[in-house]
Amino acid sequence: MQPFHRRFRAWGMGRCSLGLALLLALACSKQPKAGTGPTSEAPAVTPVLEAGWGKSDGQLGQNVPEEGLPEGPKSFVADASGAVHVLDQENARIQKFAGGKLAASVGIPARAFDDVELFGSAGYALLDVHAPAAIVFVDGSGALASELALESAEVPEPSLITGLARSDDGYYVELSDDYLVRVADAGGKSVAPSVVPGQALGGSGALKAELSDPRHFGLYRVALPEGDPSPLAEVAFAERVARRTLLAFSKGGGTLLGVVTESEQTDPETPPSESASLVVLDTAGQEKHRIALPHASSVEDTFRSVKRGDDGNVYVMKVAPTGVQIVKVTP
Amino acid sequence: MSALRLLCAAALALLAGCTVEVGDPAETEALGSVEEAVTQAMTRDEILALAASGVGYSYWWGHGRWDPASHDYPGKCSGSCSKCSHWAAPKGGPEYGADCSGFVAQAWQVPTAGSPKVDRHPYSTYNFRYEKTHWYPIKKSELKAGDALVYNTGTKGHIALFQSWTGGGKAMAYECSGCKVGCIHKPRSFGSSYIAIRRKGVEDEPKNDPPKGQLEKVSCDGGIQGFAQDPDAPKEAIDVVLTFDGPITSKTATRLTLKAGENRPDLVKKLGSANHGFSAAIPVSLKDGKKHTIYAYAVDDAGEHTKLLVGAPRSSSCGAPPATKADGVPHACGHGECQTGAALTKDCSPCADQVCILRPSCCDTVNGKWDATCVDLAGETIQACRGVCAGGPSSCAHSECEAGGALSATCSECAAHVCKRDPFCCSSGKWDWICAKEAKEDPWCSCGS
Repeated sequence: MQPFHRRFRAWGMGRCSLGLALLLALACSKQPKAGTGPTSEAPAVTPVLEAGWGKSDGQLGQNVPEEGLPEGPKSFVADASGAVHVLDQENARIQKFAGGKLAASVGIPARAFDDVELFGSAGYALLDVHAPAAIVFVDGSGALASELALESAEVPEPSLITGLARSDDGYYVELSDDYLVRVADAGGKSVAPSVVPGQALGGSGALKAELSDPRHFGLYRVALPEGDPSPLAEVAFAERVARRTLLAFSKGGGTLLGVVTESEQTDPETPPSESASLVVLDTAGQEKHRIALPHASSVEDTFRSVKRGDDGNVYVMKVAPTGVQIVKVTP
Repeated sequence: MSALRLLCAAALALLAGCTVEVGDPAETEALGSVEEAVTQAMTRDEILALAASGVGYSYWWGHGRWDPASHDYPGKCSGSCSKCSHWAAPKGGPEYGADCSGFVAQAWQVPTAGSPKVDRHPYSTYNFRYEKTHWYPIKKSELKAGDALVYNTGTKGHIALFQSWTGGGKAMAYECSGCKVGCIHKPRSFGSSYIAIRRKGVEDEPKNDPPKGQLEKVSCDGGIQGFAQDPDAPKEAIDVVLTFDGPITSKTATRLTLKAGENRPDLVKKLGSANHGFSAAIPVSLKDGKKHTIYAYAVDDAGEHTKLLVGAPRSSSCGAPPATKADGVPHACGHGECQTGAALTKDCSPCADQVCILRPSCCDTVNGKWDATCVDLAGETIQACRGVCAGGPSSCAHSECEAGGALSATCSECAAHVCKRDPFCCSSGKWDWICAKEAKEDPWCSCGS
């Protein structure tokens, strides 16, 4: 057949109800169907934030256009004290919540940020993957500290960035769910990009997760600085994997794998139902726990909904029609 | 570029008195006027090419038009739609942009084919979600490039074009997402509110799983080692592309294509057969003491998948080897790379360097020799050897970057890639300026800026 262009000639809520709804949704969240690994006892899942939609302090911005991509908070980060800092980009601010209450609100540039990490003692690193793609570093008052352009030989298409990560030696971007590129030092200064063939950093190594088939994730440990990968585990799921939501080292050097799975779809017009889980593996790659995570089928696009906090806990952001809930999971 | 040729074809058709309408800013295609028309056949590549040509344009609520050949007038959107405003930007030019459903209707060319420069917005997300005129629902697990993901609650909705899955399960999508960011190409999650739909008239291709493999080792002495396999052809050796100092999408990265066909008995247990290994030396040009990045991709036979191998990319720095004789004069090759003879030294020419990466024995001056296989490698696909054995600067009759007579797809990797995308260039008797432009945009070609 001729190519297309060669054939052209031929064409002639209030907070109370929000809390109740979220608690109900949490209580109803499905346990993942049995995989091949063990499931946990009752997991320690603690709500740390409930916020409704709006512009007032303590509320979070939402935008659901008639014909377009619905957006709520895109991401968040949890610090060593367990406080959560939510990227409320619709309201051009970061809101810090501690003990379930608003502790601070920091104005940020009105850009389409997708991800956030902590910067310095009280500032933030903000990821904007849209042209002109950059990491914007702001101090604790929201004042611009520096802006780092992301396009380079190693990051030719910044729109393919799937995450921002912080390590002792600086800031990394994750490309296409595949690998990390170090782009800045801890002070936010540009560095010659260097790559890590994994998606999570810790100690002297990295972790890499890759779907080996629709129901299995292959996990690899990557020795650094050499980069040689060695198989760590094959994690099986009873249902089809929809997406990976987290890959991180646990406090003890084990592995945390967050996954959303979906039911077998029999009718194309009926969307599959989704379940979220956290798989906890020890340092040898043996599965220790499999914890059901709260999950809601929201239309809002979330860039990162599950993160490991600096306190070693896993935090899950759930977007519901009435607002946002963040829960803490102690693996 | 397909879209550019589309534009030119449209212009020619207009000149020839055909009824194709192109580029009149005032024109808007009437909704449903040709609703009963049969859905035109279209390939998945054509859909993606049209979608890609719309990336960078602004979000324009209730509209769908853009110029696929130039991005001079992306337009501007302000506010929160539907209470948003849109205008031509830069000022004075045509007003271009699209909302999510206008974008997909143009990329799918539904209800009928036409230039993307003509504004149309024949369907909303409601239509895409609940009707089956020129499309039909499919299971999410059946999504292929060029299909779409849509949700609609009755009053609100969104639709995006699917390209591929990432290794983490995100969907690479083309979409006009909203006023803030416009029409974009990025990986993201689609929750269970979305269903998958497929345009009618799109050829269904057989299931094709992506290749898999691993970049196992990179060392200055041992070189680059790994394996790759295509699950759809598990006994065949497939291509591996190595790129240096940039991923495969980078236009500045150096690249080498290898066959992952080395016999590795240790792979039988893992892969079921042994002939999937690959190895290469670190190019001499990269042994300069500086840090370089090495990417390794497996490419399946259909060319549909290019998969980054586990263990890649990685950074490596190797010290500079002696590049000159003791007298400071660079080595010269003892004989031509196109003649058999004694083993050559890798630093005698860029061509010898690349041949010896692929076949180290060609430069093993103790035990090896420059045999017929080395000559074949020099004469075949290695970039630095292009034309060396044909006696000219290129084995193509003229530069791929300039218009001229027809070229053969076999004269260079560049020509092969251009002609794969646009067969016209190798079959029409003419390598026209569009072919030259396509070469300039192709990462396999080296046309400079």
